[in-house]
Amino acid sequence: MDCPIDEILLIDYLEGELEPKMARQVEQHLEACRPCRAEYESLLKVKQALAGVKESVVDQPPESFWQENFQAVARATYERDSSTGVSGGKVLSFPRFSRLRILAAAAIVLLALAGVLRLGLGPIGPPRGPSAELAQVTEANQAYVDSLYQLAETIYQYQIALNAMESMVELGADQENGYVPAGMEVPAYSSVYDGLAELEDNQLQQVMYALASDL
Amino acid sequence: MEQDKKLVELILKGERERFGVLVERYQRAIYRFLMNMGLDHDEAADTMQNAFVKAYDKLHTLRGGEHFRVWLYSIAANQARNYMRRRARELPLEEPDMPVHEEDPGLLVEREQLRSLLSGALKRLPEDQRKVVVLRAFENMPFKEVAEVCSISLSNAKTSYHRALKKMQRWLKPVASRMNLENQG
Ligand SMILES: [Zn+2]
Repeated sequence: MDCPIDEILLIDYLEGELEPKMARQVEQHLEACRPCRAEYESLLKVKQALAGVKESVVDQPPESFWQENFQAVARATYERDSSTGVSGGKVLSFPRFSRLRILAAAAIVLLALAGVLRLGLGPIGPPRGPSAELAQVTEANQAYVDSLYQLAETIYQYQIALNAMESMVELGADQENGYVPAGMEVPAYSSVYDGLAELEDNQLQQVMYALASDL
Repeated sequence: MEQDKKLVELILKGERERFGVLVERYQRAIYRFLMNMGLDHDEAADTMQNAFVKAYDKLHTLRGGEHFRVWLYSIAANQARNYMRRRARELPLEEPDMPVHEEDPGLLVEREQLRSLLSGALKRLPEDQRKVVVLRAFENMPFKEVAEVCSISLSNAKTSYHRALKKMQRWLKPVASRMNLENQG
């Protein structure tokens, strides 16, 4: 039989990539031509089988996995930028909580100040020549860098916590709008979230200060 | 929610921390893609991380932020290649084993069995065909984007997809009646 349908046209039809007019023509041919119809139907079955398992082929990792990946990427990009001086030491921000960027920026400034102060103390003990002095400064520098990383780490933790709280808030809103299935429990809003959301920027900085002094 | 295009512009203008939004937006999809390409959890986690960091590094080379998603998939696919090659060497070349219901071979194949059947069949596909099937059938990508991720022509993408479905259909044939797949005369 002389068939006008090649494999590409058949795939286009199967995947709904044809204009309606063209699709109708293919459809008409499939109705009339048994081999083409059989071919089409066998492809359709595999496609449907794949669609049926689509959601379940991959096991879902625990929620913490996404946070860990985010942190790892944030850390790697932060280190890159710090070494090249590209970004002025910004950490990646989670979506939906832009205030954290203020927080993070404040923390970086604070830590930078702390670093300068620490360097300003100079070498401890009797001077032992320029190279010893340099070693001391490098050591202090290292401590500064370490504490920056530590702080960044803390911020990531904060972001994760706050992000989770944001989700809860959204979930609550969804429930009000009737999007949450009945019987699903919505956790109470965290008082931390409520508290933070009400803070003025300068108060946020103070929270950050307290956080920094805990390190 | 900000579009990728806008975000990429802002990131390139210096708001680099906004890259976090893109990580959060795509990490689940990229992980799922890598797992469906046959990587194990650790390999997928590792590859995903590297892909995001690479995307961050090379963002200035991306022409048009609206292509970010497709571009990210192609970076992830490239980073996964070594793992996939190794995996391909490990696999025996024989046809996949098809589970048979012990008490009643005529019984309809359960979803769990269907799942293992199909993932077994996916594993036997050559890497390029598997990529096309995963992107099209699991990631819902239009063929145009599938072709971009795989660096092949549009018609090659469709031909690959066709071949892959035919192969899977052949492998699944022994159990086809039970999973309502049989239709060949
Ligand atoms: Zn025909």
